[in-house]
Order: sequence, then structure tokens, then C-alpha cells
Amino acid sequence: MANEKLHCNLITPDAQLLDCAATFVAIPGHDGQFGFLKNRAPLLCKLGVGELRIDTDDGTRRYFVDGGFAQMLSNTLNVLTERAEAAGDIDIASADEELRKALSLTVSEAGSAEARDLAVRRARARKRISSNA
Amino acid sequence: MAKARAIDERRKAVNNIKKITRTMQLIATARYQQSLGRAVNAKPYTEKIAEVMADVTAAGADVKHPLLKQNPDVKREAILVLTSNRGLCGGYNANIIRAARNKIKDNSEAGIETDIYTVGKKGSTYFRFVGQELKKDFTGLPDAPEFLQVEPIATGFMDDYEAGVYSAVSIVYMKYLTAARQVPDCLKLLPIEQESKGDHSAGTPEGAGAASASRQVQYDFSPDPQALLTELLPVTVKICLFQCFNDAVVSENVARMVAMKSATDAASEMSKLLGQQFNRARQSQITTELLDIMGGVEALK
Repeated sequence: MANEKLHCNLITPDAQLLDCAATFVAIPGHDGQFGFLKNRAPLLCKLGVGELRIDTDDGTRRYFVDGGFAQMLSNTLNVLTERAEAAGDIDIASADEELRKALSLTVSEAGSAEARDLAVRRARARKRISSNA
Repeated sequence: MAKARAIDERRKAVNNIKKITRTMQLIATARYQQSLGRAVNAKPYTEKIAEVMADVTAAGADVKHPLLKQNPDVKREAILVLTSNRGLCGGYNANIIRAARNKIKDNSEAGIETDIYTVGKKGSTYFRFVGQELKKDFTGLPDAPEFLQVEPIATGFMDDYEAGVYSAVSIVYMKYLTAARQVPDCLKLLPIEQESKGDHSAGTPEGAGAASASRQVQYDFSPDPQALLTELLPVTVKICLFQCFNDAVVSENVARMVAMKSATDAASEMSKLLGQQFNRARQSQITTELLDIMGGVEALK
């Protein structure tokens, strides 16, 4: 299994964060996690907020991903997101602060209940990933 | 002696200015490379989004998205003018402002009111100076904004457009063509022009080929193509605006580089000229003094 690899690109508008071979990739789909192995059928999906986990020969790497899209085509997985951070780069204190702020948001401040939920979920995911790193 | 000394002091001042402009030229060159790198970094994202977009449309997604529909009853357009925060970059800001003024004039002739949004101090200062009302001035953006800083601007415009406030949203910025050529451009951000659909119906060889090639791929869609397209459209708008910002930053640095280069050249020339004038003045002074002494000697005889 170890040499059964797919290629994974993690692309944001500011930079290309990942461009490497992986044995397994898990991405946060809009309605749950997606796992990718080699030869997965072509897929286009919307992403939610959460953790991208990639298993490579050098070990496992984790990223925080905030929405976007993923495209799986001929053993290449392209993850397109507006915002991504490597788990190790997330500052735990700032993640805590963000969660505290999100939780204290009122619905009228956030614009809508969904927006508030999203802010809370984003902050929770960011915090969880930073403490797992 | 007074004249020669004055010339010498002037020459020193010119040399100091030359040092400054030369440094600014070097800084602009470094920034230019940096901003060009950023623009290149943004390319993969843009291309992939376009690819995904094409795949989704090829799968037969066709939506009535509010960003696609025209607002024909509304007679109000928003323009976003991208200028620089600092001057000393030649005609860069002047050219953009001229393009913006032309746009406003064209609109008023067509009976459309224009709301002006500006980015950069130079633009807002100008419009305030001529007494034009600014709808909003996006200050506090760094010289080279990142995507997450540009995104709220795009979201704001999309919200306004969907609410039917505007018939169109345009961006006036300096388009970067090559290192030697940048032109002020007015790009229509909203409504989204349905290019991909046009290509399909027009059936151009390349367009048809690309469409059929991507159609061969049987994607799993999650959620369905319709919903995906609805999500993708705002992203294309954001990325489009982000590219305009990138172009503007690159063009600004090129403009400053060119302006500072000609300033340095002009200073060199002036310093040379002043050097000649100084030598001449000194020589004539020496001659006058010598003549004085010789006159004195003659008188004593």
C-alpha cells in the first residue's frame, strides 16, 4: 500500500501550500469528512471548515482549511481554499481568543444566526487543530 | 567667490537628491519583483477555479444566480478606483484618475449615477479635492493587500448588487500587460458575464474541444452541480477583484521604478552641468583676481 500514492495540491490565492505525494488525504467536506486514496473516482465537492490531514512518507501533516472546493481527477487532489494554515503555525492563544470572541457574538452583530454559527465552528475547528499539532 | 560657492552648494543638493531617487528606484525594483512573485503565486488558484467552473458548467449546471442577472431598472453604478497610497510614481495615479473621470462622464451622459469607492490615499485625496462625494474610502489596506483583506470588499459589492442597489460594479485600475506596458483599464466586476456559456453556444473549435474533453470526466458532485455553481460564482468575483489588486500593485511598482530612474538620470545630468558651470565660475574668478593684482603692479610702476 505504501507506494500507492496520489498527488495532493493545497492552493490558496496567496500561495501554494502543498504540492506533494500522499498515501492518504482526509478533507473536511461540507457535510462530513472525505477520505482519498489512490484511484479514487473523480470528485468535485464543496468544503466545510475543518482539518485537512495528509499522510506522506515523512509523516502526517495537518492543516486548518476554511471552506473552498476540492477536485479529484486522475490521481491528483486539488484543494482550493481561501484560507489555510498549517496546524503548527496556528497560535493557540489567538485561536482561544477567536473562539471567545465568536462565542460572545450576538446574532445581530454577526448578521445572522448562521453567520454566528459559522464563526463559532471556525474558531472551534481552529482551536482543536492547533491543540492537536 | 559668491557665485561659484552657490553653484557648488546647488550641485551638492542635486547629488543628495540623486542618492535618494536612486535608492527609491532600487527599492521599487525589489518591490516589483516581490509583487510579481505574488501575482504569479495567485495564478494556480485562479486557473484551478476556472477549471472547476468549466467542469461544473459542462455538467449542465445552469443557475439563475442573482450575480448573473442584470438590474436594468437601476440607474446607478459603483466604481472602485484603485490608486496608490504614495506619490512619486510618475503619471500612475493621474492616468487612473483620468480613466475614472471618463467613466463617470460616460455614465452621466447615459443617465447613470455613479458611486465612487476608492482604494489608496491618492484617489481619495483627489476626489475630495474636486468636491466629488465618495461613497466609501477603503483605507488601512497595506500597499500589497492579501486575499483575506480584499475579500470583504468583494463581498460588500456582491451584497449591494444582489440587493439591487447597483446596475453594475466596475473597477478602474492599472492593468499590467508587460514590464514595459501598463494601461488604465475599466473592468466590469458585476454582473458576471457568462463567457463560458457563450463559448459553448458559439462552438469555437477550442471551446468545443475543451468542453467535450471535460465532459468525458464523470465527476461525483457533492453537493449537486447547481449548488456548486452557486458557491463558485462569488469565488470567481473575489478572485477577479484580487487579481485587479495584484495588477495594480505590480503596475504601481513599475511606474515608480521608471519615474525614479528618470529622476536619477536627470539628476546626474544636472550635476554634470552644474560641475561645468562651477569650474567656469571659479576660473573667471581667478582671472579677475589675477587681473586685479596685475593692475596693481602696473599702477605702482
